Amino acid sequence: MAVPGIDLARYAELFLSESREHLAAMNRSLLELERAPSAPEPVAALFRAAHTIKGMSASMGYTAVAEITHGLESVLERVRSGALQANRDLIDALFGAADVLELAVERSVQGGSGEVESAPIIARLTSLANGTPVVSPEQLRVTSAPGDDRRATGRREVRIDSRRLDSLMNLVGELVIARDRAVQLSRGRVDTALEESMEQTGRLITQLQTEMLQSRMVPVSRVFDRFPRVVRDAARSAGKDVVLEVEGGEIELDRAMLDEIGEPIVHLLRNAVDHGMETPAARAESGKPPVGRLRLTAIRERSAVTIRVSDDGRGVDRERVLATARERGLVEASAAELSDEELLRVIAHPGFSTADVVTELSGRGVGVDVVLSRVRALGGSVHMQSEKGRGTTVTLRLPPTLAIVRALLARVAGETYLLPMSHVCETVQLDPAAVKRVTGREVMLLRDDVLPLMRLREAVGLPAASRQASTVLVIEHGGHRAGLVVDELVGQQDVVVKPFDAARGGAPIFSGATILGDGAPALIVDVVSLLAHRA
Amino acid sequence: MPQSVLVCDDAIFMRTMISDILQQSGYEIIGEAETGVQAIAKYKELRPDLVTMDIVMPDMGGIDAVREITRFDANARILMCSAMGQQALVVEAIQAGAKDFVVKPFQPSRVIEAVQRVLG
Repeated sequence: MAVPGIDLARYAELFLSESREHLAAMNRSLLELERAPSAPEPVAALFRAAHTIKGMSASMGYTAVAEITHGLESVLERVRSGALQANRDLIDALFGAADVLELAVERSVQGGSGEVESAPIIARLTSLANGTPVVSPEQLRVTSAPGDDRRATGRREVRIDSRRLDSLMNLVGELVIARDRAVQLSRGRVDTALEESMEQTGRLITQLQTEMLQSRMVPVSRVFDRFPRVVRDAARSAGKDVVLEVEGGEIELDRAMLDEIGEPIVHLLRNAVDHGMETPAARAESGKPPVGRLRLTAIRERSAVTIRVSDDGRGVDRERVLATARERGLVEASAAELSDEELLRVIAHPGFSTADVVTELSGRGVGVDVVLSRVRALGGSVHMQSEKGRGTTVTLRLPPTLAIVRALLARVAGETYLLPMSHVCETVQLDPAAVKRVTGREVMLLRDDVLPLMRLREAVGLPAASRQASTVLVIEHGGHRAGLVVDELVGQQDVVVKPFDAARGGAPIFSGATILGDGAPALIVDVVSLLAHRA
Repeated sequence: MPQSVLVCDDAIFMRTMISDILQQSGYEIIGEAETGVQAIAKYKELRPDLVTMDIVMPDMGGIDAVREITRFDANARILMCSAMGQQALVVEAIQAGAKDFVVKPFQPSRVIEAVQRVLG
């Protein structure tokens, strides 16, 4: 029964976030239990999680959740007392119950209680518990569980609705834009007091921005915590034995970035289990330990976060990939070998995976394609290394925050476009005499190098201009370089990237938009797509 | 002066709910604890008029915490918060030194009655 006299809606958010934490802990404990079926700690931790969710759900009047957790408690009690053994069947039932419970928790909060089909799992739990739900004190005394005291630190934390954080971030973004505008307006006025005041305001806003960005950072474990379970399930259904080791769970990423990156990482993990890892028998044959090792590592570097998925599986068969790539014209017919970079490009080619020649890669193409485009959209990059027989490593490099980008402002036909500095190597004056045509394409000689030229004017769909273009931006990504011709360069500034829906049918060469200091909107050029477009 | 309360429960949800109920009746929440070990430390530090104590907590359970607290202060006033089906544990908690108990899910009026009994 729900508690009368208390506004329960206020507690629903709290219930949801706390239940999710406990569900994650349950999955962790179940994985531990599966590896060490007679260990008492995972059982105690599972019991505690189920018990806590039960208490909360009863207070909220969420009957389905309360019933499932009650059933779980009963079973776990019997495991604790030794009346039940934590065998494969039982652990499967508990995993199943955790899944139904998760669904029930989410649905309860959405208001549609009773929609979860909880009867079968409750029946299964009850039959496992065999009608002995009575709890005795000896059984229930709680032992300590190491590693579960992370919330017991002294620091005081407040939970905030993420939408509120987003809107605060947006406001700070607007403030940055307003500051830039004010700076522009005050330029040229001789007023020391005004100048000082502007400077101070600027400093404060920069600090505010930094703090705001910091407050959006969350440890990657927030998302990584569910991966061991994902890997376990994938391995189970593929008839393989794989353990996932996670390192660097404390590394922090912008929350929005983390939300975006979760799915691509799941792709990579699934691929590694499905295609990279051998069966236990095949591993034994090639002298490897029967249990495959999959590692997920997060590392904080100076200006990026690196996430690495590496397996000790069979690796990619380059020769077969190369043969198929030649057949399909993805590489030059004369190509004798594939570099790591070409390998990734070929594998990520849409439709490549359908080649039945490359059986161990079946399905991989789709995943890698998705990973590549998603990571690039976030301003990151993907690298892949693979050694036949030894395994494959995929590395994602991501900017730690999403929202602010340092960009060059370039003008074409009176419009301003922004180019992220991270992709611009240098800028040079356009010397018309140095421009040549090679097989119908414009190139430019730059210090003995031949640089393919692209005209931003044409890329954005404007007709070629009579007016002389003046500047070339040398853009680079993943070893590909090109010269981007613009009318003029106006400067550089930090821009706040606004969410952006590209117009349908248009060239996908913009990754976002922003508002400039003078209030005019401007598009941010996606250098990676631009280069890919040309290739 | 309002009487002070230390709320011990591993769930923020439950701590928030108990705190709300008690604050609405004029009690002052001077501290919260998430584990038995924290509960003991906070008790010694804050010397509250009343402690509400969950039974199942990580680190050290509520009953052991009650034992420790009453060993330190024989007059400590502790109200157990238990879930349904934990009657045997409630008996053990009372033997360990707790003064009374309430059962989750909480009825605000019952909680207040129990608190008044314990403090009275």
